[in-house]
Amino acid sequence: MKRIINITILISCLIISLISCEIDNYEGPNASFYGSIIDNETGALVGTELINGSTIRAFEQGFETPVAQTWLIKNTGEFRNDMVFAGTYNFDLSNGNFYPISVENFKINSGDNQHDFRVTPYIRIKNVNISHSNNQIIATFSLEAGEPEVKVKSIRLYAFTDMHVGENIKFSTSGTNFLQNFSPSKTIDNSVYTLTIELGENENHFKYNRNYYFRIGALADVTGVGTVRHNYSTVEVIPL
Amino acid sequence: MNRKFLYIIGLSLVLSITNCTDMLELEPLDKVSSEQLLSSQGGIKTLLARIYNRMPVEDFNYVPNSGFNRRGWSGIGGSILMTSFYTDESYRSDGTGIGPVTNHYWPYDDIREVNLFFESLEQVKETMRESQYLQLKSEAHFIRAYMYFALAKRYGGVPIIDRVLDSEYVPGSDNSNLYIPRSTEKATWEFILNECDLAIENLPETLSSEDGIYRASKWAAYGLKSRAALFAASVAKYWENAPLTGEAVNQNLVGMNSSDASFFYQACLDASATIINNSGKSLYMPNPATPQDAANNFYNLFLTDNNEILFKKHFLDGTVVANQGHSFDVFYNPAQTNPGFHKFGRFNPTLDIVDIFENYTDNGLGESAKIITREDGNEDYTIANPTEIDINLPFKKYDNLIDPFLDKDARMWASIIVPGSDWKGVRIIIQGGLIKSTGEKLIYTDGSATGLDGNTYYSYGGEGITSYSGFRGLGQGDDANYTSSGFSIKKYLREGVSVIGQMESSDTDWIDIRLAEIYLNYAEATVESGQGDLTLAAKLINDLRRRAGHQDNIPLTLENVLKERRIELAFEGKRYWDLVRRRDFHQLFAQTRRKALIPILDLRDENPKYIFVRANNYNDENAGGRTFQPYMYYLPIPGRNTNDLVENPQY
Repeated sequence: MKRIINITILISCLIISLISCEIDNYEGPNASFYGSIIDNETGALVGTELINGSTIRAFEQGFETPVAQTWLIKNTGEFRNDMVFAGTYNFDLSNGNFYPISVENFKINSGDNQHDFRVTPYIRIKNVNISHSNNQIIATFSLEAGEPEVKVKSIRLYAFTDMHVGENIKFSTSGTNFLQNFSPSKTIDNSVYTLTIELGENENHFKYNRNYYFRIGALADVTGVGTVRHNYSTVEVIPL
Repeated sequence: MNRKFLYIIGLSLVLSITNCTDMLELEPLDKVSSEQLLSSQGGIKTLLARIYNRMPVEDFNYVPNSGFNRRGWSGIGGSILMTSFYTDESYRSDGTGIGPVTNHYWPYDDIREVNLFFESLEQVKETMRESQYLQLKSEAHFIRAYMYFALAKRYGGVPIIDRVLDSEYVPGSDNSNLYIPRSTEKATWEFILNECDLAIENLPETLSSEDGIYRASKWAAYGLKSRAALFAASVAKYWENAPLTGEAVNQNLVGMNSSDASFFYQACLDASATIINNSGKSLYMPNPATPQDAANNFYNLFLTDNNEILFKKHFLDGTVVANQGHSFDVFYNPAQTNPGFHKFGRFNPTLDIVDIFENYTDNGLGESAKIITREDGNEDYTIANPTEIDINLPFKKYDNLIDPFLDKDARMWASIIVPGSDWKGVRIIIQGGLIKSTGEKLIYTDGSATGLDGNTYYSYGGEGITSYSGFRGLGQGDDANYTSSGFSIKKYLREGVSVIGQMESSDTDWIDIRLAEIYLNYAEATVESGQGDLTLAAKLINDLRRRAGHQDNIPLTLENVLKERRIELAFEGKRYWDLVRRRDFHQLFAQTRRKALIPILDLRDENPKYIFVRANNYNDENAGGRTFQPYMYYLPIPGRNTNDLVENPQY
């Protein structure tokens, strides 16, 4: 009797384990979606940052209540998502550092899909020069408004140890001239701005001889567009 | 085989015959039908008690990331949580982030119970006195207003369901009429104020002890209205400081116009003024003789029944009556006086709030008196990592741990245990390290050193883990039973009562609405709207300060009103919602590190002295600061796959 029970158990286990061996029958993500956020006017990339930066919100169609998937945009303004399900999507690019755009019924096919979103950034940071001299990092630049209504709330020279430097990943530098806040917000004109980080005052951050990454950020004051995030210059690498 | 067949036929016959009789239609003996329940006063009160218990009161048992009435401890350190920890006034010793309350409060089951209560009440209307019927009805309006307020402050506009929907269900149809859409945020706030008015109408001014003194009175309903109206007014006025976009905004489901503010401010002023003028309520001990008396009074305010309270939630000792108590004394006593549970010392007021309290200069300006840590007057510095301090900076040297705090506001003494305080007969030692006579630093680490006087000194201020209350176990979530801010909570913590080291052993009542808040609501609404009586508003603010032992009068400014609010209502769960409604959160918290004060014993002196170092909170610093994003002002709508509601922005 005991033997019969044992055999029964053994057989049950085998059957169950065989069933468990079967992989589920859902297809995995089969598409890649990549491209850039391009400034409509200048053709330049519109950089942002990974943490709390601009994003692409994708709504896959065909569900009763499509749920937003948030796809991040890299610091450079490029994006790539290799784990996408082919299908029809609506894209919403808002609450970032450019005027919101939306794209409806965009078809993503299996395999590679390249697409550039052409946008108008709130602020362009122009004529950028970031250099190291006299134990200072000096940044000079001017600003250009994406639309005439845009004003500027603050500008800052950011520093960090890697390329992800920005508002959310930065050294909390001390000093008086690495940051300028405008209250009330300032109309954007042809002014040339200079921001500096005194390396002497910030030795705790710049301890080692290595590459440091610098970037200028400007926060726009625009109404009616939701959350506004920083616009950035390209990253400047300076060995110290 | 044939026989088996017969059995089956036989059995079927027997069963079908039984189906035809009435003999099974008995009333169950272990359940009470609605008719039975509603036929007695006791039954009605049982139902009422049930919906009172469903009220979303943010008391000791409100765990912002999981829900209301969460007793005890789920086994995860993160379940020891107060709303206060989500703000700049405190954090938990093992670190708490900043962010929205994420318990996904969506009480349509509770609202249905209230609606059923209304319906049941109509059925039994004839069996009770008119006044009794009206009071019960008003109470249900109060509770429903309270629930919708909790919804509106989390989601903006929500579906307003003010009736039982059962009769509107049509079998076979798509029942689209049951999918009630979200109302606009403005309409939701108006509904809440209207519910408050219906509550006010028939609630009694005073409650008799036989009816139950913890039930809602007229003043509780006015108080709720004052609070809700101020919230709505602030959202209308400050929405533009954190504007959002999207479908929910297009349909006005979230957000209001600044032109709506004055209506709501006026509603707040009217409700508050009625309480101030007509309720007979008064501040507890309004004229203390000395700041010491003021501190005692303010401390006792939270531990006694008194005439300042408009609405409170009563607790019984949960070790005696199951599911009734809370664990405030167990979780939040400083380490040296912990009752014996293995999680304690977790409620850490920040240096940010300690700095806000005034001292007794009383020169008519009402300026905050920052703790003095340096000789050169520079109190704007903060050290990211105290183990790296430059010990040659001009730190001010103190003889005793308690010295830097001596002249501070009575409300600080009543709300916060500072280093060197005496508490439950024990000197509370909070020390973050020492500097050896050689100048070597021993900070945030266990150890000892010999002073120039030949005595042995310990880095945390005592030998052995039961002899001090600060800075041990930093970064070790489970063992972080020692304050990481330099301070420990005192408000609501009982000095004269010892509890056993079990969860739910506290029975301190939670004061939900008290007169001081109404004073502050009135003052804020006056300053913000320009409506209201400026002289009265100034008097109210100064009455609160007089109660704290101050002798001067400060001018009525927005800054002064908000500062008084932070001080007076500190750790009562109000700060979080103040930051939300005034849209201050995202400006205050952008990779922000909350502050700690680290007392360090300096053995370089013949007589060891204490220095006090302003530092970033250990956990906030390690997390790279805390950030509140503008979209977090509204939570995501739960259950959208079935309820078809419009989602809030950016979710």
